[in-house]
Amino acid sequence: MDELLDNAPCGFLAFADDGAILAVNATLLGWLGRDACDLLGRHVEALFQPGGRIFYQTHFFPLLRLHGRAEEIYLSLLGAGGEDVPVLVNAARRERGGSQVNDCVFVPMRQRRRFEDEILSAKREAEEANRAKDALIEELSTPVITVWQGVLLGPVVGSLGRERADLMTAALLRAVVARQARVVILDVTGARRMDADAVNHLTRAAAAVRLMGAECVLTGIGADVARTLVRAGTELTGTQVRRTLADGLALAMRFISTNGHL
Amino acid sequence: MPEDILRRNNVKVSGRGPRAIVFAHGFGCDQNMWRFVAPAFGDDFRVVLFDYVGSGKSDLRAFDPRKYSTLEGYAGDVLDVCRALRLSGVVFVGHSVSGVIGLLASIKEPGLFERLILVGPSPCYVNDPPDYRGGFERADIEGLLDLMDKNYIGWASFLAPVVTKNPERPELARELEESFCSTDPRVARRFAETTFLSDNRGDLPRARVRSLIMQCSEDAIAPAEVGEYLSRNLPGSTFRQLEATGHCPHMSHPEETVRVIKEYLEAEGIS
Repeated sequence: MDELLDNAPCGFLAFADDGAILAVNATLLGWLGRDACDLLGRHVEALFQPGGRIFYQTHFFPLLRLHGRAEEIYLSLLGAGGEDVPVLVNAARRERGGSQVNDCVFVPMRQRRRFEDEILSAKREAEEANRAKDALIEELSTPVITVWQGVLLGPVVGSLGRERADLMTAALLRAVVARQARVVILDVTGARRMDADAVNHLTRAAAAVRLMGAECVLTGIGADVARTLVRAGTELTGTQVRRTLADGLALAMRFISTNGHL
Repeated sequence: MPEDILRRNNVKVSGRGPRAIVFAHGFGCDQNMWRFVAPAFGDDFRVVLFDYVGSGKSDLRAFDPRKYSTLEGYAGDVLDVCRALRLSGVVFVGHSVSGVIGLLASIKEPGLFERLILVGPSPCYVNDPPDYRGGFERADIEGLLDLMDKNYIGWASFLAPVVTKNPERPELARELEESFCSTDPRVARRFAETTFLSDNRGDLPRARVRSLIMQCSEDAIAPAEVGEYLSRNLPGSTFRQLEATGHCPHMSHPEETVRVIKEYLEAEGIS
């Protein structure tokens, strides 16, 4: 090997497609605490930690083989004492002596790794916080309250998108079965912006409740929801509608006390 | 509906022949991995390539983390693709984790498959002492996930500028479109966990379709012991030791890979 390359301030290694190490410079050998005769002819995987071997086989080599080059790939080499030697790798495939050779240049990145570890752990914490928030919102967004024996109230607060409507319907149906409900009141007093889609979700939820054998009462319908219903030509057959939650409750109580006549 | 599946899994059909051969990629890549092998079957087979949901150019919106937290979820993709194309008597070629995915699909619908070709398969990557050595400890898998995380930090910034900064070199953008990996880190991470933390040893006796195990030499991911374990415990399997080294013989030694598959199919009277 050229003396310049041998002692250049970067690691250099060449390997064949079958993984056999063809050349390695003194700088890299120094970092890894190895002799050239240790490595030449061995599979390049010998340089990596076990997780790194998977990464090499599933990402690094396919990328190099398919695209002819790989840039800024983060790898972790196996130091002499078993410690991590974090490096960035650039690699290119070239023809030399009639066969394909993969040339790699390594730059150590101990400092940067510390920085990236911090970024990653911050990212993971943020993801965890997000997950917790999502779970909380999901819980808060689909409350089902038993207001009387056999009477459930599902208040819709905020906006009613597809995902939330699905969650709400699922929670309602579970509650109808578990609490043996006979009437479900869907109250949209606190709902924001009930557009045609939201009304559609609502009527589907009501239909599902009825299929489970419970009556459904829709309450808290304001002027804009009424307009949307008319414009959308939505059929509310089978669903009772009351203007206020109080009216809906009264209707539900009558239903329970008369044993099923609305 | 079939069109939806074909789009969802980025299904590509080529070649001519009465029988279909379906190539399934492993973890970390997409159907491009078969670039050096699949064309060799085009004269005799209908060649089907696809990407699992979450990989390659599949529809990322179809990725359901719950469904794809088990290999059965991925087996569902295989069955969906076969049904969408109305295939039967399929020769299924699966690399790495796709070997087990194909096996699970064939257990669910044995009638759909004629033979399974398992390239570097493993029913369980993690050691289970004292009797089973998959090759890895759980901590090693954590090491892999860590490397993936770190590279995704890099790739996001490394992939983006290529498109914008090289308008004079449109082939670069095209190459990116054919980007070889799933670029969504959460999806890739989930696939890694599902792949390397699954244990499907219990499914092996349920195999109903004959299979070929292609064992590479010096394969760190599916070592020789795993291949031997499979050949002992997978009913109807034939074992072939490859000269190819590493875990990706279809990329590193495509000629041998093609030859061994063809020899097996010929010996089994399938063409």
